Amino acid sequence: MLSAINQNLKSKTQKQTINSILRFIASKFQISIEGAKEFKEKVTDSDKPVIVDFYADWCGPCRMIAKPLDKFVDSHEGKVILAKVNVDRNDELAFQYEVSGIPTVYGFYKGKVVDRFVGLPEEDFLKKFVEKMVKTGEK
Amino acid sequence: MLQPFSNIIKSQKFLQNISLSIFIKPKKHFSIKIEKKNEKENPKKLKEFDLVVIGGGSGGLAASQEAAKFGAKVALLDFVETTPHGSNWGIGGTCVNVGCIPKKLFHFSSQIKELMDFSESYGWNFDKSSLKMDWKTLVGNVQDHIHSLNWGYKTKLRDKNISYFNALGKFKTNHIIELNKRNYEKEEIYGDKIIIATGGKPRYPSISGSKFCITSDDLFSLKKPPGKTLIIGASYIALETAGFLKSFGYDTTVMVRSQILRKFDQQIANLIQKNMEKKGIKFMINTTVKNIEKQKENYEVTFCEHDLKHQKLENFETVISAIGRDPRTFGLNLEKIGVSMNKKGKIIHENEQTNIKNIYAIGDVLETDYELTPVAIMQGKLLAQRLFSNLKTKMDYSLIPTTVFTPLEYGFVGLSEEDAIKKYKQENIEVYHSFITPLEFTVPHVGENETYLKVICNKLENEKIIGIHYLGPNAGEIIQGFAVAIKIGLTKNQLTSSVGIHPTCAENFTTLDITKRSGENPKKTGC
Repeated sequence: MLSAINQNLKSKTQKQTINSILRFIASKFQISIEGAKEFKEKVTDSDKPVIVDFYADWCGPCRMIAKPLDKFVDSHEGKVILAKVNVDRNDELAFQYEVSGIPTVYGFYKGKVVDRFVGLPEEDFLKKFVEKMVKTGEK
Repeated sequence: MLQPFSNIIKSQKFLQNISLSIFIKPKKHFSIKIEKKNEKENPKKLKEFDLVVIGGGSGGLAASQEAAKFGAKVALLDFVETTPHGSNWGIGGTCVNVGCIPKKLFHFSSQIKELMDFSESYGWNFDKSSLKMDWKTLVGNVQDHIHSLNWGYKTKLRDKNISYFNALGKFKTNHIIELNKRNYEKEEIYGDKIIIATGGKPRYPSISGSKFCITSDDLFSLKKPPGKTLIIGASYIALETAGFLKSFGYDTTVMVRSQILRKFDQQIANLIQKNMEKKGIKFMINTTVKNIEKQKENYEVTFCEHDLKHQKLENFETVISAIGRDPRTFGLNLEKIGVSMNKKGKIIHENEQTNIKNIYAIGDVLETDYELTPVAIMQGKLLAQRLFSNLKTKMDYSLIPTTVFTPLEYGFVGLSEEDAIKKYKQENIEVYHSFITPLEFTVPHVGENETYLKVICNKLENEKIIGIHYLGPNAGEIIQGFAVAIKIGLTKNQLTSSVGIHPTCAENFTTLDITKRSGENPKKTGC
């Protein structure tokens, strides 16, 4: 969504303004979690389904999963939230959720783990995973 | 009678903190006194561990994981002090972060360039001038891999229930360690047994301007390409670094005080130097650095060649100090608790036990002839086994193989020719040798007769092999197998009666028949 709009803008300041507006909107569906307290507030206690992406900056597959995951979450327009947890900064949280290989992606709803996967799956699998979380929230 | 009883005590992990004293009285009566050991020594009731390991490098990680396997309650401390240049890294020690791992990857990158250089003769067409080293990409990708290893170790420690503290450890007593954490918080813990595995760190020259040097601690995460580089030192670290930097396209000079690879086989050290000079690496032998001054764009280095009285100047973008490594024993408070160290600061030991009964040491910090990861790992594993299980195997320091990853790699196990002569006398040894050209180098006409094989035998013991040396491609892979064979007593006859694998470089070991003594030409001539 961001890149498509970017291509049509010519001025740099125009691009920057639109980007920050879009990021603000997108941030409603995408959040970054730091610490156990935030995790409880924004994931466990959330009334919407939350997909938690445990990642690290140095992890190639994590980088590869980021765009498609963003794309699929955005397409559901807020019915599911994407929470990103950096494992280097949040190792206690990572260990609590038994994260060893990364990326490890969880689906939470009403404080419970609905589903999870580890590693880099096919895009189709990712799409279905996000759809499943959306459906869980609609029940 | 006493032996089986004390074995029962040792094998019950919940009884490990019990001290057992057996008193033999007249008329063969005996009394047994059992007391909870730590009450006297741990009055503050600090967190207690069966084993505290100070240092999360190759040795520390191996020892802690092995001990945990046998049910010991283990604490591992690891802390990296930021280098003067500003570098820092995660758990794993020197090898993972600033040693073996990044070194081998950078070396491999340089070998890719070497192969590309003669790929044309093998049918590949591409514009060679487009081949450029992108330093940032190399550093970024290697660092990503290192970080994945840091993470892997963290999860392993967690899985094995080892308490990991990111803190600097200082001895308060021989059992109590003070943890100094990053946020300046302090905590004290109690360790029944303690293993010091703090490793080593690079030395800086004692000249003014030494702060402008970087070391191997900084090289593999350097943000900008090093450019025209001076490497001060003659160690394998200096030479390996020079090798890959030159391949990457940087003007590289090595400044050596006396001779390169002083403790290694000198004939082969000379061959390594010749090969590196051929590649365009400049050597300043018998030269000492005197001063380094920062200029606008680079560093001005003042140095003195020993046979000339006057000093010279040259400018370099990067100056790397690779003059040796010192053990990290300063700051642990070892002097206070009385741990004996030698003049260089290395810990004196007997089977890795220090002069203080419950304190042990492994790895680079220990006084041995080796500063190698597999040695530290083996020391750590065996020590943990001896401390926490019934296994009694001691570390065997003989016939440890190693490889120097210079452009022409050098792998060896056993004695150098000089040491063999010293130990057995010239007339009692037989040296078989040969220069070869690897098959792959024949087509492009490179490296002719530069690969060198040498086998040193003890004539007094049926030509038992006491040293195997290989200078050429894939040295580490080749020597590994021979190291196993030499340890079980390989003789020249057994080597010669083995059938080789063809076409390889290694097979030439099975057909060596020219001795140094015969004076015959060891080079293969003709097509």
